[in-house]
Amino acid sequence: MMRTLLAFVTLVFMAGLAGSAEASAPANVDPKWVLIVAKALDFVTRKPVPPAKVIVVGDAADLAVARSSFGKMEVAAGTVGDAAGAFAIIVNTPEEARAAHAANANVAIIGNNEPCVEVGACLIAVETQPKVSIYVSRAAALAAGIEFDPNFKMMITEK
Amino acid sequence: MRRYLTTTACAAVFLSTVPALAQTVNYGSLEDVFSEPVTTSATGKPQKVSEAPVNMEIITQDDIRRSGADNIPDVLQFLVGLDFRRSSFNDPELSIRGYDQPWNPRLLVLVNGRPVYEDFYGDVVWAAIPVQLDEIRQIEVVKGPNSALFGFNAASGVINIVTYDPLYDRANAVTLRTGTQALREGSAVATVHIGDTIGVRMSAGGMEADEFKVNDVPAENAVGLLHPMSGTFNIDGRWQVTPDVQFSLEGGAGTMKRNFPADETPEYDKTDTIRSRLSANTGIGLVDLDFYRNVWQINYLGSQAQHATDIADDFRASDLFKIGLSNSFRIGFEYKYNEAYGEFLSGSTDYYSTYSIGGMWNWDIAPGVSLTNALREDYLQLGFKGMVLPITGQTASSYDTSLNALSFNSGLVYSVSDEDVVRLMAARGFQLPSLDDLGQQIPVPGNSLDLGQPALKPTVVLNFEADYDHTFTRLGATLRSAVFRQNNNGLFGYDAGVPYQLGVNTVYQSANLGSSDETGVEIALKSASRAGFRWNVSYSYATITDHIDSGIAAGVYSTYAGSTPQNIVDFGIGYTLDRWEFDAQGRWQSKFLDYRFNAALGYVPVTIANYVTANAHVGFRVTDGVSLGLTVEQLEAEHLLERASIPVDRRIIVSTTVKF
Repeated sequence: MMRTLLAFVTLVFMAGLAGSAEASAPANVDPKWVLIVAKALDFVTRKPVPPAKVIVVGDAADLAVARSSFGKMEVAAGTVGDAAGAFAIIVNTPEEARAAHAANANVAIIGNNEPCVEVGACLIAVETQPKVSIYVSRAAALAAGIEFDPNFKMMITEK
Repeated sequence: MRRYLTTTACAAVFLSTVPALAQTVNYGSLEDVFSEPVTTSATGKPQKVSEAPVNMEIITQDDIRRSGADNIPDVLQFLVGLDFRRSSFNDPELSIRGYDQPWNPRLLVLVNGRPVYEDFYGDVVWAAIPVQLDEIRQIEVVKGPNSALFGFNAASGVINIVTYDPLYDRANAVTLRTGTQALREGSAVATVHIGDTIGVRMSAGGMEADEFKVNDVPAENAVGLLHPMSGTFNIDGRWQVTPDVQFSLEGGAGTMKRNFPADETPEYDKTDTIRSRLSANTGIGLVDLDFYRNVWQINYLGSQAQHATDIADDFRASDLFKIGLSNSFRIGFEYKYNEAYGEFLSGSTDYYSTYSIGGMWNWDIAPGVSLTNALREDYLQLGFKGMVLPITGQTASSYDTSLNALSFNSGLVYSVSDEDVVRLMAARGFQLPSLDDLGQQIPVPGNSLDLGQPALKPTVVLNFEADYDHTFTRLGATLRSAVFRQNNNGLFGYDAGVPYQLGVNTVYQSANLGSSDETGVEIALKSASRAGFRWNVSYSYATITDHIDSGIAAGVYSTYAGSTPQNIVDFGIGYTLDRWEFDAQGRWQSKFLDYRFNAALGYVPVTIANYVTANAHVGFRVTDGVSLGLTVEQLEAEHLLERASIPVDRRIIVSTTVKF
């Protein structure tokens, strides 16, 4: 009986470990926040000159999400080092955001991470639940030469 | 899912929102980003409704369509905290949190921020407002005073009707309605874009119907009734002059006929309006210059035919800007000149000029915590041109008077958790006497005199309120609750003072009557599921204590405790099934006291018994652009006495809407 219980506890523990390992693996971008970011970037006062380029650091699924959201822009897969001349780069993790910031100071770095916005590495982060909240880094916006519509700025949290 | 996609596709066809840079607020694009309605009616700056430091209800275009109603008060009548009663077919009245009066002067109604108030009486003539239901994006209802933003008469609350923007939105629709009471009604809305920088929206509408049956109305109150009708037209153009400058020009006209048998006043009104606005994104913030002129011609066709013309010119300037990361400010100046002349004033003119200055400070103290303070000072100078009738005992110098009014709004919004929001608010607002209250001079056959009172003081409304909202995320439901305490000091009424003898004449003069306190509670639950099912239920309780000066007779302008229903329950249920929409809304309210005018006895009390009323609507989308509707108003009774006037008859409305 005791051995059975021990085996069960061990199984549960191992399942938990497997679950946490899966959770820490890089996840795909959330289509909802990418869509909101794309809409938010419509409020940039000086639109990027076409064909504006958006680089996506991720897999084919991330690329598909970005393409469906940034309909008017040229969206391509790439690495953090490929963003020179691009309007924006979408990253998945804080590490990628930091690397992208180090490599491309004047590109809008989009990583859905509020602390990343807080330190000025990312331009924009979005919370979608339970309400939509948008965080924008003034320093990152300045570095990327981006200015937002004044009415839009009244509704976001600037960092 | 299929239903969702179909609905979305329809919306895209009828109303494509153009993401564009905006000096004026692009409601559609902002709502699209933030997934909730956006408002400027709380502080003057664009905000998510959930973060506004006021108690606000938003009625969307979907709500309007599902109500099946053919006029704005009917759309709003089942909203918690609103009192609704109808005097006749074309004379609905809305008040916020009680204190209902004929020609309710406590409620400020705006279209895109422009007052559509009829200044002479201090009244909202709903049927003459030049706006069609199909061109409304949302109706914002602010409960409680908001004078610090909008000035006088935002005393009990504000209703701001926000239309689709001609530059950003494309709204094109034709609606035809027919039904009982021989209703014939139609409206059309069309938007034209010239390039990317000019947009023009035009709308027109009209209705004609038979008055409700007057069998139970005393004969003396049912003389000379008019055929209810209305007709309105509006054109609104907007030009993006440069990426940072926008100019708009708007003009409109409206006419209507209505009956108010409780006071023997069939009325035929006309209004014209023009507005121009320049908005610019500058180095010092968002600067807005706004001018409008409202002209009203009021024809009172009672036992004594009277006419008045009121002209109001208003200029407003404001600057909205941000300092640092978490402080927004708005400073504003307003000048208004308002004059009235006509038989109500025995051929003379009375007028006032107001100068106002104000400011708003919104401080995001910490994540989820914000504090908003707004302050405004109004200075009013009254004047008179022409002859003051000697029999009034007044002289022109009686009108050489002025007043100051300091109003404020303060609101703390605290998001306790992702699902809980608390709002604490305090406000001071003003109800300004109308030009009729201040300056009428009407000799009445039989040696009596209706007289204005230039020394009349505005009513000061002080409101304290605590709100709590909770979102039941898993249930898709929201709970909204409010507790408030309101003090109204210096209430006044038309012809409501103690009658006195002046020579051979008995004088009925406007007067300040005393004060009144109100305590109220509102609780509302609302839910909408993805499966298409929706429901809502709300309860409001209000108790009022009047402190009316001795000698003032009980009447329609001085008995607020009795004339406000204490208990109101509103409820609604709806379901969307593919191309069908089924909705029903209802209200139960407790009894209240109303008054009917009698030439011999004055105002005679009439008890309006408690009642329940319910409306039902079925909508069917024939194609993506064509929909049919069937609405039954007042399902439960063929006739219903909503006030001491004409009983309201059941209405059946059939409608066809084509959107393109």
